[in-house]
Amino acid sequence: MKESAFLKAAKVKNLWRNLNWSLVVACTALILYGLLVLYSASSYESGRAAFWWQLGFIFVGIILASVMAYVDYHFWLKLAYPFYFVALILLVVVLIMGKEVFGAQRWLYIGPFPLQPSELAKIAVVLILVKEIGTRREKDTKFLRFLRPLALVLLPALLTFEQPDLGTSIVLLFIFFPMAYFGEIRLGYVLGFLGTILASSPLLWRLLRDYQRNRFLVLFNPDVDPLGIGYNLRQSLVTIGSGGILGKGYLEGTQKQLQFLPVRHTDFIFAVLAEELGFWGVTLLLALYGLLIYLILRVAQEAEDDYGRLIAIGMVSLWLCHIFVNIGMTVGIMPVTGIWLPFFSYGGNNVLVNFFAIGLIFSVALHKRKFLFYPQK
Amino acid sequence: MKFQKRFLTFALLCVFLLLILWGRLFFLQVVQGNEFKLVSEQNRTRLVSSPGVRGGIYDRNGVCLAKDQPTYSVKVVPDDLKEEAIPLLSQIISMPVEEIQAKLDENNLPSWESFTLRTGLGEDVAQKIEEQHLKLPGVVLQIEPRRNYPFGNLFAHIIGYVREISKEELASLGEGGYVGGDIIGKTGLEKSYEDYLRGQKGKQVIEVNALGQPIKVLHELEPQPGNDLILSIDLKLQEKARQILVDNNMNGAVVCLDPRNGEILAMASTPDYDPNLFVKGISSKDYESLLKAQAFIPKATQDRFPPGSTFKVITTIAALEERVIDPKTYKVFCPGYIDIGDRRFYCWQTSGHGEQDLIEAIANSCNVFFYTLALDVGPERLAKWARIFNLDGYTGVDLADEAKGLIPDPEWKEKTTGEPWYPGDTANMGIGQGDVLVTPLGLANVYAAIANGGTLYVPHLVKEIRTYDGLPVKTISSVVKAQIPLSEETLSYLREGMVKATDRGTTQKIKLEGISVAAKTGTAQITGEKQDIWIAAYAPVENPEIVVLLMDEYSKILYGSYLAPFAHELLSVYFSEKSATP
Repeated sequence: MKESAFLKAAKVKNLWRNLNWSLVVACTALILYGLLVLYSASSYESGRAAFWWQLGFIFVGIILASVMAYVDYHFWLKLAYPFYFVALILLVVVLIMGKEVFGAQRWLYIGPFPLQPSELAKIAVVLILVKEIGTRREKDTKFLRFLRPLALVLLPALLTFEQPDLGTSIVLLFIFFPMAYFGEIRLGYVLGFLGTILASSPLLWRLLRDYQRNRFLVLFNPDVDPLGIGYNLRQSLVTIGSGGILGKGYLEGTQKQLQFLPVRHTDFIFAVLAEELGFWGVTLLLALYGLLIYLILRVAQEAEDDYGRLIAIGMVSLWLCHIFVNIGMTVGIMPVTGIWLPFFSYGGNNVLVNFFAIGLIFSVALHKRKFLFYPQK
Repeated sequence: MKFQKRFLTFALLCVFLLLILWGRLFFLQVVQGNEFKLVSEQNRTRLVSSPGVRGGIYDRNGVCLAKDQPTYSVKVVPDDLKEEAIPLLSQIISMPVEEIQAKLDENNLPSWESFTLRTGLGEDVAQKIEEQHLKLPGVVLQIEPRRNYPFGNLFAHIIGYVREISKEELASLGEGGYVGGDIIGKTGLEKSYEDYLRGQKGKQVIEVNALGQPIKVLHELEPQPGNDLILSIDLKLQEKARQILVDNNMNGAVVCLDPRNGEILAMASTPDYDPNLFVKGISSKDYESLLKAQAFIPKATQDRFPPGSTFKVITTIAALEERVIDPKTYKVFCPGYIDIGDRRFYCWQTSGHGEQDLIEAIANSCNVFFYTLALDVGPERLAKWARIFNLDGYTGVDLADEAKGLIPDPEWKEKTTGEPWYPGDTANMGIGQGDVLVTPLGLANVYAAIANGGTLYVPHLVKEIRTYDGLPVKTISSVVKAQIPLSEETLSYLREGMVKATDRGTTQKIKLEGISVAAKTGTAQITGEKQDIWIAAYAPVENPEIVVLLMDEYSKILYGSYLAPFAHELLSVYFSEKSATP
């Protein structure tokens, strides 16, 4: 559909009026909170290098998000297929020649920059699902409408499972369910698929590697692998628990229990927060996450079309899954996987994924044609 | 609104998941908070790792060539180490305070985990630390295995050495379970078989008292020793090989191969070094002088030289296999020189050899004959046959680093120098000079293939890998790199020529009693008075069991044939040892 020059100009003018200020505030609060904790977490590292790097990533991220938000999201959706295929190819490449990190192949080097194809895959899967579920083809049977997006999710999920990056497979599968639900895919099929996964769990269990099984088993029996994951989990619980109600104070965490983890400024950063800022700090974080989710759901409600709604739902599902799996593993109710905490974990790849998501959500919020004709109440 | 119900359901799911986390945190921090605080304050568990013994290396008769021996090492737990104890510690282990401080700063392990400060300490230092242990909280004494090479220089270029892992290696291998202070193979077999030799570290979770001294072991994982390597090397032959090089002040290489399977029986290069220096910590002065002498470059495998007349076997094979000449009738008259273009090429015997047929020419190593033959064969076919024998490729020997030879041809010369190929280049190539370069091991392998009738093996040093308690892990069988189709006629001409060579001049000194030997010598002019000299030989001619190759770089000795007595010594050692052990 071609837009007249007038309509385009009018839309740009309306961008500022449409800007969702409460969402800006919520995101900013989370980013600042995250930086505050990362500063403390990286203190034992070399000159808080992680903190300064993170600041740089966020700067790049803000530019990325601004560009994403400024351009109509329908344009970005046009890139869904090429993006998806690039991500798939990179997943295959990393399987073949990836660098071994903690026994899993996850990194590709683009010059000096480490790229994690599994992070790219998360965005690619959200975009492809938006495009597939949001586009209603008249010829499609209800079953085909369910099967096609499912196949598009399963392919990268299997590739990441093979890496092995169990965490990302779980995230990719998780995203599918809310998006299918909001995309009006027949509920019976979706629940049938969920049931199939649960029913085949004994089979899946056999596919896991020994150390992956230990990460599940240790949740029920702390004596599993007492020199490895069992020890780590025990220390994580001691660290969080010892934070108590008020915490040990900012920058006051002894962190001794945390230093066994080489990833404390990435995957286990929540434990640093819980130790230093205590139960109140943790409650504040969960409240902020709740607020963020609420505001994005409002964006979804007010979205112009199915595509906009699905983008918001997809991104919020991605974050929800990350929040639950990451915090869940540090408090010993989820298996340990390399899943970052949104706005908190250190890392260029995840910061850019987060800002990509923010940018798209803002694009959905900004590019609403109806406000042109019906002034806001 | 259309999606109202769905939004409500999804929002409820979000709230539910966040509440689960919040509830769990309430339980951990509010309900159990005080308990955990107590545990955290009294948390005196330490994770201590102990090294796994590295596998040993043995010769084919079971003589130990490299082994880990117990020594003491001092580890510290930074959390427990008192600032004021550092001077005392510095004095006992004789390590400057600044160096201790620097090691503490660059330590990448958690501050409650022990890390290695100094290794290889003797009993006396260990005793002093034991006596002073009350003044030295956080200092842990550990018995630690340390590499020992009982034969010093003898195996430097084969076994290599181990040393503390470097920062670069840590960055690229760190995820393979390596941490700072670990010992890793740096060169030779220590490097190429690192994954087999390396022991598995043990781990202990221990409870310590307020002084950081262990009270109780909570969990333990036993260290696992690495695997042993059994080499095809024969100690006696190896000793003789190095002795020849050292006693005669040679900067050269010796290779002894079993042509039946590619096993390396001896391989020595000089100058060499004592690998024990690296284990103890080599001084930079010693290191510099060894580096300057090029002692770290194994000439047998990592350097390349013009092969001189030893290359004539390739020229012969190319001529016969390509049917360029009829060996029965092909004769060349040698007046001591030949004019090619406007240049005069001399024979090594300037008075000339007279009329030569192929067998005589091999036996006399007549250059004029081979200049003429090379011109008839042409550079492409010479290069083709040199490449069939893999002279410009890696032999694939099981060492970490290897050089490969250079076989020139007109295309190569055009590309690298921009100059056309002249007939003189062909003549030079035919006698193994000009731009032809080979590694001693690569050339020895060619003679092994000629000795066994055309099978080019991948030479190897390791015969067998066993667990520390003797169970087989892997048997390395011989690998055939190429099966070269050589006619019986070609082989018999080479054999006859090389047997006859042992009747000429100094080369006669290679002869053994009762065992026939075939040999070819080589002398490659480098500068006016210095040359690279070679001898390659095999025996017994009828059923070859051993190939011997000697090389001396920039030799003051005039001709390769002067190496014959040394080749004789090596062959004698091999055959006398064989008759001693039935």
